Amino acid sequence: MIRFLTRHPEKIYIPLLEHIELVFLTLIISVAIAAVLTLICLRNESLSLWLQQLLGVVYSIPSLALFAILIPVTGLGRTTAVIALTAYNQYLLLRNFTTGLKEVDPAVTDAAKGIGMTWLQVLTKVQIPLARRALFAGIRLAVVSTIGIGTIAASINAGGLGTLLFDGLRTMNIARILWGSILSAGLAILTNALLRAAEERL
Amino acid sequence: MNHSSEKEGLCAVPAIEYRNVYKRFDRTDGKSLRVRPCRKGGDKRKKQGEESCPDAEASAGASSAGALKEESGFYAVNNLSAEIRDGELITILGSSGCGKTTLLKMTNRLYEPDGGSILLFGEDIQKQDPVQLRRKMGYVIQQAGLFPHMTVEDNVSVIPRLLKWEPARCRDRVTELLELVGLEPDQYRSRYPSQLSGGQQQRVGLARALATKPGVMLLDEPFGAVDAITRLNLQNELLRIHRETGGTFLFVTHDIHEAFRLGNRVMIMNGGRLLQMDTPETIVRKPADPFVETLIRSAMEQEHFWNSSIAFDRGADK
Repeated sequence: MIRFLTRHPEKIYIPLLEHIELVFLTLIISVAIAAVLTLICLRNESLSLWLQQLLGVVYSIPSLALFAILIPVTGLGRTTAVIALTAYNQYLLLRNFTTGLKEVDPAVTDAAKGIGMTWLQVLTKVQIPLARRALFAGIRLAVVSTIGIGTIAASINAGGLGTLLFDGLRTMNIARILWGSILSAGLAILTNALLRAAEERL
Repeated sequence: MNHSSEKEGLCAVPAIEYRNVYKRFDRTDGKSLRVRPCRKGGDKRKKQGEESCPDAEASAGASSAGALKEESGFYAVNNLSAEIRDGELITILGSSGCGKTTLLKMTNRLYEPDGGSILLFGEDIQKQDPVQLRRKMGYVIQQAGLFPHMTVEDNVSVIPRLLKWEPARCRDRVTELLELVGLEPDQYRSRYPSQLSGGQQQRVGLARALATKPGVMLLDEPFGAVDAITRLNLQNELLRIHRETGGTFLFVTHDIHEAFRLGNRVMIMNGGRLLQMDTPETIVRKPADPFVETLIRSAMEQEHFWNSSIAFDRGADK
């Protein structure tokens, strides 16, 4: 196993970097989309329910199936992976964002409105600061889930730690299998711990 | 702004005028759930709504379940007209669910009326920008509704800062306001709301509402959650603040003693209707409605209890 690391370091760190890149890219796009969807959902209760259900359905699709459905549309590769991972994230993010913002004491938001804040000011000065933990928790969940599902993205040529795993499985190379699983699990656990620590400080 | 000139020029223009104001709540309306009172009160109100407004009945009939039917539609405020003169301290008295909070929230457009109009210094509030309107009015609620993530200073100066006042001006105004509400500025300005007692939080809430020198103050049971002694102090402070600022105050309460003690006129509401609006003395002498009579009798009976227990105590001493 160590020999594999010393002989082919690029076969380990390149997938790792690819994986982090994939997660990062997905995260930025997902949070941007989720933010917009959250704003829409806060203003429209019925649309919110409908959207939550739709995203719930998407979330329940097995990842391989979702990748497979998208291949005819967007082809093999990273774009497809990012689209699918973003779709999964919307469920986690939207749920956490909307409930987090709604759990802010209505007396406080009422007072904010009543003393003459615009809805944007209520959101940015009152709701978001008070819901920051819930918002951050949503992001943490999304990141961890992206790291996990991201390994499967290797099956559609999107790169990442999944490549290492799948190659190892195909050739029955124990070193690759071990590196692949240790790194993907380690990355998820470490990121979760780091983000949780950051969340505590908020 | 322009109302200050009207204040001097046209004394006849009421500060606030309600003209046949209606507000109907639907069971399906998410907002109504929050103001929806306990079931008993809801029942009573709905009956009144039905009597005068046939469509309330129609919508109630539309839902089949018993519990839903009971609360599915009612008039929280029902054809209410009133005039409030500039500089008055009006108390709005009624049991929970009588529509008094709804009336207050319509005054600063947190709720929109379903019928009728509300005039502020002669101008229809429906034609004004809600945010600008609210900045002309102070708003204080029960539990103060302070922003827990901001210090007292930031809470009080939140609107001045949004209006881009100079930092020095904000600071001076905070000092002035904290003194006005009886809090030592240097001791309290950097505290967070969680470090204050209920009474102190209410004082900060009052200071925040007064920050931009509003001509009208709306107070929604501001002292509802503080103990009796603190409440008495706060009531005295409020009377002093009203004298010193000279604004028009609208004070919602369900406490008859508070209402009659503070108000130079009292509005008594029940089931969304205005039953009587007059000076406390006149209401006591000439109650205009059986409900008002009952209310006063119950208050007197309480009074009687206190007086008789004192008499009993003195008797025992001898």
